[in-house]
Amino acid sequence: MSEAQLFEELAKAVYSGDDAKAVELSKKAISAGMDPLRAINEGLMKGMGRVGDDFSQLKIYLPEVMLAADAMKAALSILEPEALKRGGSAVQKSRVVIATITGDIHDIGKNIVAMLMRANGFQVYDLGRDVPIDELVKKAEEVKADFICASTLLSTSMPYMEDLIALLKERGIREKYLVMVGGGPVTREWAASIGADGYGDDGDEAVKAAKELLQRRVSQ
Amino acid sequence: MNTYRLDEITKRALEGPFMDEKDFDMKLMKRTRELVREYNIRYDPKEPVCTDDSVADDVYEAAKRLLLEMGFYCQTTKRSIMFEEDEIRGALRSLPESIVLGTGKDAVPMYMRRVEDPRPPAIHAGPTGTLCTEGEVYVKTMRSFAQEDVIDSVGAGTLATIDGFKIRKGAPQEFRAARVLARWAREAISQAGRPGMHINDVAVVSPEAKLCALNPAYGLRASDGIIVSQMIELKTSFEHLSLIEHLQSYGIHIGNLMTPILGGYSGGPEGTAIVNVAEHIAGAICYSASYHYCSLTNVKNLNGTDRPGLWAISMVGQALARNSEIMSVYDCYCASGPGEEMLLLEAAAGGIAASVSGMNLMGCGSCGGKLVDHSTGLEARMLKEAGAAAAGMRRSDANGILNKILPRYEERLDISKAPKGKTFQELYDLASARPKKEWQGMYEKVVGELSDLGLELSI
Repeated sequence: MSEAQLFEELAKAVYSGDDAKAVELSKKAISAGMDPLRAINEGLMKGMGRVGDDFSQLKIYLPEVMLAADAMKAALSILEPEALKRGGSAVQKSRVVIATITGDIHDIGKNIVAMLMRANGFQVYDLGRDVPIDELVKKAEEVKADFICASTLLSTSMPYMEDLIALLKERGIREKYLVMVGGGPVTREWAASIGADGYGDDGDEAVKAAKELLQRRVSQ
Repeated sequence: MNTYRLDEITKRALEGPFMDEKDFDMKLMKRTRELVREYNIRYDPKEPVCTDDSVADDVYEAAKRLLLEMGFYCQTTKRSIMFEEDEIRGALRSLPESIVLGTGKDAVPMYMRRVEDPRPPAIHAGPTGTLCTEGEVYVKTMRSFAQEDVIDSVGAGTLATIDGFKIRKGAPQEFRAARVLARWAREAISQAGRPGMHINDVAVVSPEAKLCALNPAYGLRASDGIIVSQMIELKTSFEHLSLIEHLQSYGIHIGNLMTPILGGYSGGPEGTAIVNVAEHIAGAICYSASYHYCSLTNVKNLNGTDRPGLWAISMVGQALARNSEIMSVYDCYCASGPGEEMLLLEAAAGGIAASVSGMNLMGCGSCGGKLVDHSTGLEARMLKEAGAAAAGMRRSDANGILNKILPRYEERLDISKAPKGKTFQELYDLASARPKKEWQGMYEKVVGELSDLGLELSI
């Protein structure tokens, strides 16, 4: 099997949530001397990209996304250590601290975003639901996060998102973080009005927005 | 439900099998997929309303098994409240065939409807799930629903501010908002000449804040209702059960609100239907609810009027109508906004699918609940009129009409692209709370178009 074929098979294994196949192909890639980082980017990430696109169009649903994420995780457990052995810093991940914000215990939207971000190579610290804003900030400081992401389904928790940005400003650390907000009642316009850096209508768009924000930050 | 049953439920929440919540979600997801396969339940996009009774019965059986195996998860104790099959049967046997909404001359019956039932569905209406401006605009918005004579009950919108102060969940203003929302709802129904009309909730989130709305003189009475939510999917908490404890003693109707996510943990329409029927049964036993809001929400577009969404709610309605006395209410959540033909078409489709499937109605939500004051009485009238016109219709005939309505809007359901329409203030005369010509004219045009399709609505 050529390198291109193997990477395509890896992408398919991830897409179909076949963790055994994904692991088998990952091992095969390593034993054939292929670059594990390319296997991650051109195999696993490509498969996960298709998953994100199809979920976004509701051609597939959350259970299929979760199975794909599991397959990706299983394959990464083989490929990542090998990539680290060969270069280390090449698999450096952007760090994301995410939570459903104060007052809200609805977490399925946040869980979807966290899962898709993780599957797209971000290191995600999921603090759960009904999380006070100071805990988000504390964790972001502790892990030197790139992103702080807050979600809510409740309009009565939206003011806490404004409070989050105000707290970052008050502490003089607003510029250290890319802040993203989202959830049922949150709109793009409202996110911009409170000074958030990013917003996504759904999980897939949130991931794309995060990647764009990172790109912009790097090129600045 | 008596006190003994709530004590027993609490005991089980304290002693049931322990499970991390993430594990519960994963187990529910896997088991639901297995049950869909085992019962060979298949969504057919050509039939937005399934016409095969055996599928409805299979969905009910699968749901009962799911509930018996998974239990009703208590987030507070991280334990599942488990049931025996006999207990489910016994609890459901005690449910009434009909209830009364409201009081005095404004009281109306709400029936346990059956598949293809000729009796028109009852409708609970209001700016459900929509952010509203406080004060006169809010009262007039509510009045716009109450003065539609076909509407049986009014609910509440969500306020962003009270006395100009942003409402934060758990802050003092949320408690004040609960009192004021109830008072404004009373004022609106009085202005409409229907002071005894049923009010079905105040839209605040904290259970303890909801209690502030209970007041026989100025707030919610025993003839009204309060919504108690389930958490997604098949979950409750002591917060919610504690609210039940007090509502029971007050004697008010309890509405079991479920927001099953189509595309979420339950997967597609088949799994969503199974899980939601299980949620209805859990709500009937643990919440002792008078009625059950099936507020199905698409994971991406936040609506429940797309083809798979209609199939799922129809399946839920039929499964319950054929196998139980659990009154299911389709909460019609739309992608588009008032002032748009699309909203009227979404409401009509929802009303038809729910009505022939044995459900009652609630609505309409619009624009995924994202836009302020995007709610008026007229789209709720459409929902009810379409439901009433479809009462007694055969499911196959309903499919004939739905298959002509759906292509007119289903390509525009993406929440970022759906037409947003206008606000209540733009579409209604504020003094009389009556629709302006533009919106009324659009309504009449759509009524004419539906008539051409064989659905006769009154104007």
